[in-house]
Amino acid sequence: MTIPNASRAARLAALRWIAVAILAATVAAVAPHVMSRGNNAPHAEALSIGPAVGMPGAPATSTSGLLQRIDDMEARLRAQPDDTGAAVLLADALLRQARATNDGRPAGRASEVLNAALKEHPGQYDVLRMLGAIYLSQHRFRDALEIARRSREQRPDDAWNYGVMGDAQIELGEYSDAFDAFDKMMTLRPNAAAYARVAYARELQGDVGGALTAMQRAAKATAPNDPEAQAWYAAQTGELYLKLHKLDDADREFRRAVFLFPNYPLAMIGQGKVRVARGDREGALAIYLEQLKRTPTLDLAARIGDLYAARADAAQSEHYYQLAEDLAGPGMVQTEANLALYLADHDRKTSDAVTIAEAVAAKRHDIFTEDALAWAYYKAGRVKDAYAASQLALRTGTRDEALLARADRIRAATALGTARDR
Amino acid sequence: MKKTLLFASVIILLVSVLMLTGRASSHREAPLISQDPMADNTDLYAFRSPDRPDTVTIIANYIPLESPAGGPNFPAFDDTVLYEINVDNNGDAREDLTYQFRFHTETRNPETFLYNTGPISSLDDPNWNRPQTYTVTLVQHGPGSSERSSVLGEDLPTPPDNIGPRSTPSYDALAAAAVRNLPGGIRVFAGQRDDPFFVDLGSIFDLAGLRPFNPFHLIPLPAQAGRDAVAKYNTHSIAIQVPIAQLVHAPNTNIGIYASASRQQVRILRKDGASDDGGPFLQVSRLGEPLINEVVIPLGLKDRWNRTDPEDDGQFERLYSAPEVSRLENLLYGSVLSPITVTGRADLVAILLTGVPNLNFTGPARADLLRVNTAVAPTAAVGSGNRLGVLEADLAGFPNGRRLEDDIVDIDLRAFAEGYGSFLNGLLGLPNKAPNNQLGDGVDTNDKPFLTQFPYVAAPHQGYEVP
Repeated sequence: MTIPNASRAARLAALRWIAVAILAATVAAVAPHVMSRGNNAPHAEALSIGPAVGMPGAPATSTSGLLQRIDDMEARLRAQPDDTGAAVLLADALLRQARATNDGRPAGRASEVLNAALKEHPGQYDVLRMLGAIYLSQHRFRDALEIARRSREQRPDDAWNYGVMGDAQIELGEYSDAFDAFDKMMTLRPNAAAYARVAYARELQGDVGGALTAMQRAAKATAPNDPEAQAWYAAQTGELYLKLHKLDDADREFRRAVFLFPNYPLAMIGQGKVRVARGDREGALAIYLEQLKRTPTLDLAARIGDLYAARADAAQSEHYYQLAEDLAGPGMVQTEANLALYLADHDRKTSDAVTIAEAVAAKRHDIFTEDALAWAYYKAGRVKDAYAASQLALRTGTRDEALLARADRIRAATALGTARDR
Repeated sequence: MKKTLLFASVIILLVSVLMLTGRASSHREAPLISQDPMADNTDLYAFRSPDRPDTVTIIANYIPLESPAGGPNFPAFDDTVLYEINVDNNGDAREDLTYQFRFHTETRNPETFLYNTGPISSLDDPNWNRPQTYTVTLVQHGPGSSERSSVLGEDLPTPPDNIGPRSTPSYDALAAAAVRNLPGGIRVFAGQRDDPFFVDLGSIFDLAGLRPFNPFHLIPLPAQAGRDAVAKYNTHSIAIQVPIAQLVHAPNTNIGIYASASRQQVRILRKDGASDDGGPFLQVSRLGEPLINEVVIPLGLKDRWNRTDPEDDGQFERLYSAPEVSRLENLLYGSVLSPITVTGRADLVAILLTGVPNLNFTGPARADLLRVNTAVAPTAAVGSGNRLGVLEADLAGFPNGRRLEDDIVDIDLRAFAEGYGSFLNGLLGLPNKAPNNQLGDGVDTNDKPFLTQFPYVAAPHQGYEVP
């Protein structure tokens, strides 16, 4: 696939969005510098910063396009550290890179660049709104919410801010507020980003079919020059098909994602899941092992450990189970409960699982955290606590099968305990 | 002691490194994207058809800056977008006629993700894996909010994108086959085309530079010829040719037109049920006069402006009567231009919001509409009109509608700088300041010649030829 020539694309930046730029925005940008009128330009003013990666006039969001955009913007920042537009465009590309490589480091760099820009231009709108998205990527959900509220005050009709707010609220378990934010986002600007959020909200409430139609709509509404987002939507569509037990459809969507963006992590793992569901454990293992080299994560190592365990290969499975723990990092730095769930589920360090899940649950109350907490309590023999947490995990009406299975086990144990108490 | 301290700091370092490099995780990070190219109007043209002068041709372009080589996901109209061309024919700034275009993409072979699996030699060639068809519906708006809809054509074909000599040989024949006649003498086409807009963006983005005027810029450079930055880029056109009698509300001859794109609002299904995907459409992009969204409407207002119907444009009048563009022209070219009036610009309000009296005035309602006086006969074959249109006495050109060859950038630069030329100065007393009346970006024509037949817009650049 061909990437538009870099310098040309950069120069063309933003054609019709800003075009014959004689441009109001240029006045703000030009006047203070050219006329040496000092820096009384309003810092909060929105900037005309050119198209984001994947948009017309910018490089595509392919592997090479993302790298090219990151290089270009890093170069612009080196030449002119005060280039706020470059900082925002760099952060945007890094955010895509983080998702496409399942790696948190690009988001760290983005946060650094944006915070530096904010020091120079406190409250600058484009920086602020992008920082909210970066904080989401870093699991700093409270910070993201705070930032999105600040930037909403500046531009109450920018749908983006409601997307960040809703995403943060969903992760914090504040579902009603999150759904309100998504509805507001849709009212202001229906687009792929809004459709995808409606899909997730529907899925959380157990409407997997409705989630599928909304996610398919998001995929259709995505720019042709944006294969990363296309791949993301295709992979999510695949996940939803998996949940509906439509394996062929799921497999096709995962393959589509990989066609659009080679080795796209969500889709590679999805292809493994399809194989597991079809009973092809060897095929799944091969995919997972290959993917682990590219994106080593707890989730992937645990899946590999499970497959070796199913093969009764205790040594290999223990190797990967240990790797899963190592990849998660120390319990005290966890921002989500997946480590706790993993430990509980594999009967490893069940008391650590409780400690970790409780620490995470002190910060967020989403159903997945409550589910992990419930499972950790259950494995630690604290059935009543498990039941209470499990009820919270069920509160949105999710049809997540693994979560429901755990809830059933906890409910049965609770009933047994209650019977015994009598 | 020292060792312990060192050990402790290593641990702290490790932990912080882990926190910083922490792997992105399972939570949903759906893309957050503001721009929406498939639902983005790029340009609108409307003119009496020189080869069928009893008709008006309206061309609405969408999807900016398509790179011809942009596979594997070649651009197409979006099946989920409602594309519309709206016509006001009684001067109240509300649409009386709406031509709706809805697209449907078929995947012939779901087992391949390729656009085509062999040469596409006809519109129903099985090698073309993602053919797109469309439906045209006419909505007639009556009194109050009454509407009458009639389907004018269904399953109308679009041509494929212009990929290369192997995939799309004889492209012109493919495109010609996609021109369809509808009942009542209407003709339609929808598909990829060369972007007919021409402008020196590279210079204009460089602190609003105009290469021919480089020596007079605040930051002077040697003068140069202009360079067309939109050359070699494609777009997607919806073209419709309609008999004048169907468009106007006799005895009025003037009509106002705008094109739009709307997306459906899809609500979260709450536990109480409620409907699924049948939410209302919200207008997310619109275009009447050229460059308004880019030049007149400030960044912070763009979303609201795009959502607003032209009939409510009165609220934006101050942006026309005190335009930033004119201020900037004074600032950057003050050494050479005659000072430009930057407030109370009734001339711009007239041209852009109500139409010019005795030319294309539609009524006092302020609205961003492209206004055509259908009584003015074509003056030249498509592509051969005077690029400065009415400024040079060619009444069939901009701002009386807009032809493909009209040099919007130069006309706008001069109009905003009060350099209307001697013709309009004599006819309407509009200011003709010099050398303001010479302004231009130095790009006077499109990179490809236009067709003399419908749909007039040139064939798209081929991916194989234009990487």
